[in-house]
Amino acid sequence: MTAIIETQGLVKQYGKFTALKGIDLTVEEGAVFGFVGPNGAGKTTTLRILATLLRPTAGQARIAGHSVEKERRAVRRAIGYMPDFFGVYGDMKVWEYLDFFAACYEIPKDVRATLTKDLLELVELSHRREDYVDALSRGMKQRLCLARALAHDPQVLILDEPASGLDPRARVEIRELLRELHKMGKTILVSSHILSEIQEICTHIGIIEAGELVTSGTLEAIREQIQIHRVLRIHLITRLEDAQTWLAGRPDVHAVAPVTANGKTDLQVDFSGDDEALAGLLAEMMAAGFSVIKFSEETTNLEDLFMRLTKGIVS
Amino acid sequence: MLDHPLVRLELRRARRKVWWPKGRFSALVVGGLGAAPIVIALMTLAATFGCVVLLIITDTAQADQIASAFLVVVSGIASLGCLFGALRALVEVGVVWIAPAVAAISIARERELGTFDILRTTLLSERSIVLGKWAGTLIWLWPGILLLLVLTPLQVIWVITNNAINPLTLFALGGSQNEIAHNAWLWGGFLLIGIAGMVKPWADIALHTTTGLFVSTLCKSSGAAVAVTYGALIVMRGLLWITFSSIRAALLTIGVLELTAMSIASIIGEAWIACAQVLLEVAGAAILVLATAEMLRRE
Repeated sequence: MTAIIETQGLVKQYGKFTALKGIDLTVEEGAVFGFVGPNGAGKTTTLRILATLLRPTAGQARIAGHSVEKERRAVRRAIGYMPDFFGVYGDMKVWEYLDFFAACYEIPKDVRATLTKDLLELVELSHRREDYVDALSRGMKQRLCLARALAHDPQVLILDEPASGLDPRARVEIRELLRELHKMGKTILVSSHILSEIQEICTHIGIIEAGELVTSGTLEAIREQIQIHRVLRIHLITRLEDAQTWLAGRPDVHAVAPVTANGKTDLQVDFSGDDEALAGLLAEMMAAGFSVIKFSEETTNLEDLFMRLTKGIVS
Repeated sequence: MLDHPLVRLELRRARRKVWWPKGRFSALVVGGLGAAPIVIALMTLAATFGCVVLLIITDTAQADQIASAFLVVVSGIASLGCLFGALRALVEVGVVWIAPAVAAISIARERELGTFDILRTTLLSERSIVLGKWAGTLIWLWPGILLLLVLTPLQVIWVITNNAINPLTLFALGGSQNEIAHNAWLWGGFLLIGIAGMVKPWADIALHTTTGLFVSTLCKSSGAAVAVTYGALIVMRGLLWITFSSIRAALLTIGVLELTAMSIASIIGEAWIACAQVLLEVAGAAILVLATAEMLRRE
């Protein structure tokens, strides 16, 4: 796979405030890259630089091999951008809106009618073709904006929080649409401050906090990364305190604490090690004479991962 | 330019807006307002040049009579045109001072709505966006611009046939070849002043709209953009006035311009000053377009 989006040491300063502190980001062609971070982390600034709307203070960014600073026109041809806060020309009809942007992308007049029809079909808005944009729901406007971003058949879609402010149904619709676009071979860079919102559709994740890329890679790689810090739940019939002392003395255990739920007390263990080390721990506990009747690992979803990473556990 | 997406967008919007109630009465009013100045202008032109031809082909002894007759005819028609002259002055002031507000909100409003970023990521270059927005502003001013255009023939007539400078007077005065040449220079000077005066409102509109656009790129709210634009224009107008008043005062001091006498040097001097002011405004407008595009590019 070749990298279609690349940034090297991307820095953006607003006066004395540094919004981006040297972002090195790589997005492979055909990937759905989830760019996640809390509000104010620098997601929108990064995306605006990639969309040629902002100039970086330092560093470089390239899309499809073109510099976002020096080859803006080529970059604009390669990307479809949807900002987090976007407006629509409410006094235009739906088809006029798409036709207008198609014209802005220099698409010939005779092609535009067919293109508009196809785009409206893709985002399931054909039935609202003659309506004014103002009459559409927010979810529909979002889909229309996505159709607009596709007017010139870009290689890369840069979507800044496309599901923000949408009701659950509209979120699902947008998610399905992104899946469809992924199948069509588009590279999608999608930002969100809610990881669970995009984890289902992403092939890659990048987590940004305070202007720094905390981690990035495939979903599997990031999950493996977090597995270094595993949370175990161990239930014993007796000798709970002995087991706590025994575990606390081990170098691969960072913390042990009793946790009571439904009248039962378990030990919650923060453990470092791979699956083999985990099996070894259980064997050693059994060998030490502890009557273990439950030995399980807390499942770690990406939301937990996000919480850990952005608290600096990994970084 | 008419095929520019932004121009087509504004044309579509303007077409949808209800500007004037439809019906026979409206058609009569619009048709009458449009036709009257043209008819008056044509009548005056016909009278003037008819008389000039008569002067050339007839005995010069009859020149005075023909000239007098002409002046009676023209002044009669001109009094009719007076009403339209006043209307034109009103329209001119209106368009020239409403234009900056329309321009000032154009880009700032897009920023407020959140549509501007989307527009900037299309293949339209910054300069193309600025020119498209500028043309879009003119589209919204179309009633005023149309009235100005329709009433312009009257001004053309005024410029050509004004009593002091009309070609008829020039011929009627006769005299030696030197005197005719002198009068021709005078007439040319007045003509230049008149042409500068005719172009001036258009230069004003260009300068005011481009100032509005420039400020519009700097402001995030349309309200602020309008306020800053008018502030900037008042300062700009003040500076222009001071500059040209100083030039005129300097030329009067050194004797190039004269307040009472009608020397060729004085008239030509005044003509150059009038033309310089128009050229300066047009150049200013062009610079502002380039500066606005550059500002967008550097954002």
